Amino acid sequence: MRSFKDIFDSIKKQAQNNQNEEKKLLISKDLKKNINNIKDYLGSSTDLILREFIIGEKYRCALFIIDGLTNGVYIYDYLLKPLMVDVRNTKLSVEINSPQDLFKVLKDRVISLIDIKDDDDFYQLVDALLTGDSLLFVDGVAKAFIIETKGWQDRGVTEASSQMVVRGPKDSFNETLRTNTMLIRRRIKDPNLRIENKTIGTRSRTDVAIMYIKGIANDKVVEEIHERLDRIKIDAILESSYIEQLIQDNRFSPFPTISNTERPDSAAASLLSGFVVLLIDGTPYTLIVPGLFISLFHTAEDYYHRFFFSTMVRLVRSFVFFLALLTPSIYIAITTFHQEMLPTPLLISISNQREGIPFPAFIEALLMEMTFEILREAGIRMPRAIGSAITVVGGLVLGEAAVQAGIVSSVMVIVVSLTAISSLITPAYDLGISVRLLRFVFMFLSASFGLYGITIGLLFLLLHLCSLRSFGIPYLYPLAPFNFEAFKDSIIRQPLWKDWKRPNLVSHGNVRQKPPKIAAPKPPKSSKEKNR
Amino acid sequence: MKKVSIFLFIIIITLSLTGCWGKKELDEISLISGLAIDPSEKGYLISVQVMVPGEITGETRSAASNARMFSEEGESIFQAIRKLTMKMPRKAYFTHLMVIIINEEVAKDNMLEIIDLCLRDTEIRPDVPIIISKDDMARDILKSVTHIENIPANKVKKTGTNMNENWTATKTITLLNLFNAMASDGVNPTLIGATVVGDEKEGETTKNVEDIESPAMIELRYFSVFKNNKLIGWLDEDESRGYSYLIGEIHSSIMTVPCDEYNTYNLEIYSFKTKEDVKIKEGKPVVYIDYYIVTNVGEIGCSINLKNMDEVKKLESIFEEEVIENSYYTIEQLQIKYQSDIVGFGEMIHRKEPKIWKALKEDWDSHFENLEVVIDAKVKIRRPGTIRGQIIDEIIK
Repeated sequence: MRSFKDIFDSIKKQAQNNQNEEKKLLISKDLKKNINNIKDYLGSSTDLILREFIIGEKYRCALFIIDGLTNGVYIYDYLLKPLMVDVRNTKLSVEINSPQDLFKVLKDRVISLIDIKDDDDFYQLVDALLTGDSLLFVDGVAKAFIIETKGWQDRGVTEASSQMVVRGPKDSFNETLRTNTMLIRRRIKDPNLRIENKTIGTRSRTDVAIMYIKGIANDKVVEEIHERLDRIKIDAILESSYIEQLIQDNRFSPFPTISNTERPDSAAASLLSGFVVLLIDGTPYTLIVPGLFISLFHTAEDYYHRFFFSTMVRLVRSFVFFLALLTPSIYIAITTFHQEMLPTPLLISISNQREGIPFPAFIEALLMEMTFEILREAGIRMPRAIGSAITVVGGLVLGEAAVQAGIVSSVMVIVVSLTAISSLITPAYDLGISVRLLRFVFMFLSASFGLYGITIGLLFLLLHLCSLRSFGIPYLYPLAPFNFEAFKDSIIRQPLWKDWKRPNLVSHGNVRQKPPKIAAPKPPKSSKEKNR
Repeated sequence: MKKVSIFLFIIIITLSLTGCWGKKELDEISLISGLAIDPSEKGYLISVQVMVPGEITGETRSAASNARMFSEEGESIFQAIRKLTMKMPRKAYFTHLMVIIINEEVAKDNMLEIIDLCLRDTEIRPDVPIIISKDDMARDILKSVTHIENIPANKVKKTGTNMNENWTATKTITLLNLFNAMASDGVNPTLIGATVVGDEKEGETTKNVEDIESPAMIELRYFSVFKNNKLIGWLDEDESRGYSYLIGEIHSSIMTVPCDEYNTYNLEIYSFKTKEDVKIKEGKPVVYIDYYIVTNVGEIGCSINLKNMDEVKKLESIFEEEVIENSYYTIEQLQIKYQSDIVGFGEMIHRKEPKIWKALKEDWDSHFENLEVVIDAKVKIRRPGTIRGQIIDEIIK
């Protein structure tokens, strides 16, 4: 059966390859024809710039660039100047008898730019042109140069905007793929760091770089990523989320099975743990594959502080996850079904505030949660200039006035604010979103069945999380297929000076750090002792 | 996709069809803080005390009482409670019940029905303290408006706890304790008694909390003695104290011994341990009880040199004698006056000598009359307090 499937696949692949080969279109020797072809193909777009010139007496040349995508200095100083000025003043010491000779001399002796290749495929040439390279045609040669002259307006490497740290590197990825690979390469100078490129999107032709460290990353995961990326047939990739949604395992899960980061240090740390990083041109958010549930609770900063603090913070985050998920539903359950669970004075206090509230607790909670969602969305979308107005309206009018008017109880305001703050504590924004969604489900459950409903909901949630896989790795690893070595860096963070191994399912389980033989450094001997 | 939508449909239908079954919003229930059971011509007179949340925690507290009381008569307790719905706008909710007060007369007559109801009901917790009203109607005790604690029922409960922790004479007994004692062969139950001291009528009004000294106060005093699940009498203060020693239920307390006509020695107990043993002598069980009491010097009214170890030893032995005597006195009273084993000697024998117990079990109360108990005490004085010497001596000099 299997062999049959393999054969079937290979036939299919061959067919695809043939299709690509058929698309190949050789350019002609005639410069005029080539120029016209390109102009026609690009519809004489205004940003297409053609510069025709003559080298020597008879060799007509043409240079194509796309305005804005190229670096001006490259074009003027290292391309046009050598070609048009320097060529006349230098003795080339090689006789040029034919355009082919000139073609060779240009590459070997004239053009002083680093990345230069020649190609005879029309489509390849146009692709290169559209990514910012320059095309140099020489009349009489059925080939053209692709000269790398990329250089465009770019935001520069700025501070991370959504994943802040107090201590740690401040740089973040930007929209340029090359800058992003640079930021990682600068951190990991390992020769085994591999970058494999793919172009995805029939129209956007977006570059996607697959980065991993050979020998550490799980080869099967890399293979699987390649396969899934090849399967994508979409016209454009505008953000890494497109890729995420197209290659993730369980499409109906509210949980993100691929994590993302905009921090190069997080990406580098993931690479070193054996994860694969997908960099997508045009977005600062890179994908980390496979995504584990536990890594949604981790931040880069966890490793930059001492382990006591990091462990505490991680435990707090895990606890607060449940707080964000369950606070309103537990409030509803306890105040409408299980009043006996509260200490008497607290119950009396809540009961006093509930006195005269026109809605049942569930409606009240729903109302406030919806209000908060509205405020939150408004806060993100509003123009900066009217920000303070939203704050006043949201905080004062909806919060305090609602309580004073007796529409909601003040406990409810506390519950909603606690939930809101809790949902913001999770480092991964994606997880915050899923928690927001599930919170409403739990509220419905608790309004119908009380704590039983919450328990059943949690059970289903656990089952669902256990059933998830990300590129073959169980989502709850290292908690659900329990692995002690990997657990040391999960909801707790072990000291760096201890034995440290990579998560064995994700990577090949190599040792990351071995403690030195003398574990604890000793204080230097005092000068007195030395003298003796 | 079809499966998923069917699944979702079923979930939504089931969620909405339950109609929030069993739901009770906070403003639909009345929190009951106290339950009083009195006898009446029809059978029982039930009074419940309802907490008024607005008066207890509200921002603007009026002079109104923090609690309201509703009463109803009925042939049975349960019937009377349900009949209360005719008077109450909200459903009575018993899970936060703080105290059950039973009239002495009811306790003398029939306790079993009350215990059955309270344990059978899902709302009443088994750890609710039960108190007997001595000389007063149970509802009068529930009614007395009090200082400090907002809710009268809470006052009753907390006073019990406070006394239990800092004084010996009482011990709050919960529903479950009571049931266990009733169900057991070797021990008879006991409950504390409460009385209203002062003007009862004044005590019912909020005027009671307006004055610095309340005209009426609730006081918890004395243990009751039960036999055959019926109340047969009360221990006086000395007996109550001896009883507390015997059951070892002392957390922190004061022991007082007169040293001359007007003055006393006082020790503060901070550790009280009892060791029990049962030995067979000539076919009869003998119960040995050893106290080990660690104390601090509390208040010294007579001249004594605490720097001298012999004097301290002497003081210790005075108190040892006092404790032993007090315990013997209580046992004697129990054996002669009531023939009721509320201490649980039977239990001790059952635990240590189960074979002997089998023979005694049938007629334990009469065997108890002739039970031999040997008591020994060891009092240790650890600290003399912040002044080492004798303040009295210093001043007299």
